[in-house]
Amino acid sequence: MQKLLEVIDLKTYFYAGDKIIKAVDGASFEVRRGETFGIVGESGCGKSQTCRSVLKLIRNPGKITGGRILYEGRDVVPLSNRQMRKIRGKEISAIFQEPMTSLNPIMKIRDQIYEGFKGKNMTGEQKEERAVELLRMVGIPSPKQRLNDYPHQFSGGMRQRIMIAIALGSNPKLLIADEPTTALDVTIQNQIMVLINDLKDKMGMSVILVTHDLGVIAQMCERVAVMYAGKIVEMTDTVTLFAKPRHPYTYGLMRSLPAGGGNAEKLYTIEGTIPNLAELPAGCAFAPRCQFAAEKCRRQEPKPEEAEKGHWVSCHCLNRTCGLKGLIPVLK
Amino acid sequence: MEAGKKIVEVRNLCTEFPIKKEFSDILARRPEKSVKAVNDVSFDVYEGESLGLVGESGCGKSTLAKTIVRLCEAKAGTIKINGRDITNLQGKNLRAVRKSMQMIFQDPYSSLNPRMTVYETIAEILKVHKIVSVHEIPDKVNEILAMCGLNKEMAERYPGEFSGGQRQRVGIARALAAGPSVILADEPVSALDVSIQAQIINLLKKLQKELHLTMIFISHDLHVVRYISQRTAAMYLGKIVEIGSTEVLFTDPLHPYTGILIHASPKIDPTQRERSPAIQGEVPSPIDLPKGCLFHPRCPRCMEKCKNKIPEMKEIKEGHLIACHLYE
Repeated sequence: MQKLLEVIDLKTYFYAGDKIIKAVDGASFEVRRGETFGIVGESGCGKSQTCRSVLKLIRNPGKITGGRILYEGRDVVPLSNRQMRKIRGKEISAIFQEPMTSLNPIMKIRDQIYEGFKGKNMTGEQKEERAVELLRMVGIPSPKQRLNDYPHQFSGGMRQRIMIAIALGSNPKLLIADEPTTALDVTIQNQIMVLINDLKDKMGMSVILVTHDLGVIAQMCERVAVMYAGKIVEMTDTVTLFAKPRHPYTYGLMRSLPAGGGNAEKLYTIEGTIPNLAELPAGCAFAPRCQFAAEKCRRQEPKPEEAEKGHWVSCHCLNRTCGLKGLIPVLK
Repeated sequence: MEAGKKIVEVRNLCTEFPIKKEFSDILARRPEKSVKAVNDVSFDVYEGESLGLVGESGCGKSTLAKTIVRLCEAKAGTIKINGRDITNLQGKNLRAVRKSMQMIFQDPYSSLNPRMTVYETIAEILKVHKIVSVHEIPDKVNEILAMCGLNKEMAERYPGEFSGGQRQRVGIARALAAGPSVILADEPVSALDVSIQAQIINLLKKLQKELHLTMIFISHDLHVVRYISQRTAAMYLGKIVEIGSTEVLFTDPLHPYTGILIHASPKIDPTQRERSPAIQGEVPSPIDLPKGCLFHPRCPRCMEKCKNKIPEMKEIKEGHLIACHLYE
């Protein structure tokens, strides 16, 4: 499959006084055409900042300090804001977790959808036709009447559908979805997941899906990257990740789920807490919490290695993690 | 199924929130409307067990918990704790009963006083409920903290200095300080990261066993409820639609809504993807409730009868109750 987006050694740092917070520190991945690429991790691991970097929405005091982001082969990092605007919202669209804060509360849905048509030379009729088509596509009943409603007149699930409609208005090639279902109930989450999967196939676009929920990853993604403390620690196709995780952190995440088929008395836990990004330990950032950690791990930072074809892992202990069992054999 | 003692007995409980009348409503003499947050709910919780409460947001799970601890006014029905009717207790008597039932809240950020150290937070409860004499308070606080996996040095810190997981430990310590026999945990792990969530679940399980606590565990995460609860109740629009042992409910749900809820929860298996949504549409407004069975407008197995008659809770198998016309 062809690459649509390639991120090489991306570094996004935040400068807070004399501290440097390495929100994204050397992330490399690619998104292929027509696939859903998942980024999973806990809060503060840099998954959202990776997305914002791709959109070039990093604000002061943050900065993309290194690396390249190749969109269709062209590096977008050096682009000016003006040039970027031709890509952002047109070629690359985004939806976020809180549909209420991303929608303008005092603008009719109609006008918010029309914003995406700017510079397209469409007549009023064409705009309305297209807006109705978009709302129908995302499953909003009686779309024509609802165009004149304001965001507060919709429920949470409907608002997220509207966000998706707006994002799709420009026929993007890449949709970035940052925790699109986190604020929603399970039944609505399930509807939105099926909707995004469906639209992705119909429109042939690629999706970057950011989430903390391994269930959402399992239901939506072809390939996944697991992030920890600003770095991608493991990357492979979804089935392999769930069947044979190789990084101790990925393994820990899966095993600590109540659905992980573990011990009925006690869940597996990853001891300790997520490290402070401004004071990362030397060597592997996960070493202080890792059951496999050796002396080398505390000294030297592991580099991504291809453990098996297409399965990248950043870990010194690969020879000891090959027997780790994922969730699929357990669930079956 | 359980021969244990009934610790919590709830019968026909109703909680309503009136909706403010607008001027035009008064002129038109429209009757006052209200949201029936808890609508004729009955169930028991047995000694030492954990009852899971699941349902979508707005179904009344939290209001039910708050009504049981008397933070919300019950409109009708009775609540018995340890065989004693507490529905109408006031003042001193109510305070005495509150000692035996405590809540753990979802958001440890907003449920702890940011201006009080952990020590002060816990000592206050010991003082108010006169759990120990004044000079024994410091030791008791340390004992409670140790039980929740916090060390002595943390007692002098403010909630803002803790991470989310530690803060929830403080929330649990605060709830346990009064020495309750009933714990109502309202989404206690929903705001936490996966790796921290597992630590808190283990802590709750350990404490429940050690202190022989009876627990009502509210969560929208079905996997968590399945792990922690022996019995589970599913709620829809203020009513319990099904209640039974967790294993039976999750493997063989009888009420169409319970089935849909379980089906909608994402399977952590990429080889089993959902191609079509479990259910269309959303939960209707709790103000104008549908006639008959509340679930009938969305129910895939709706019958003519369901549109007019409210189904009653019936015991189908031992310990498995369900409110649905399909099983009459």
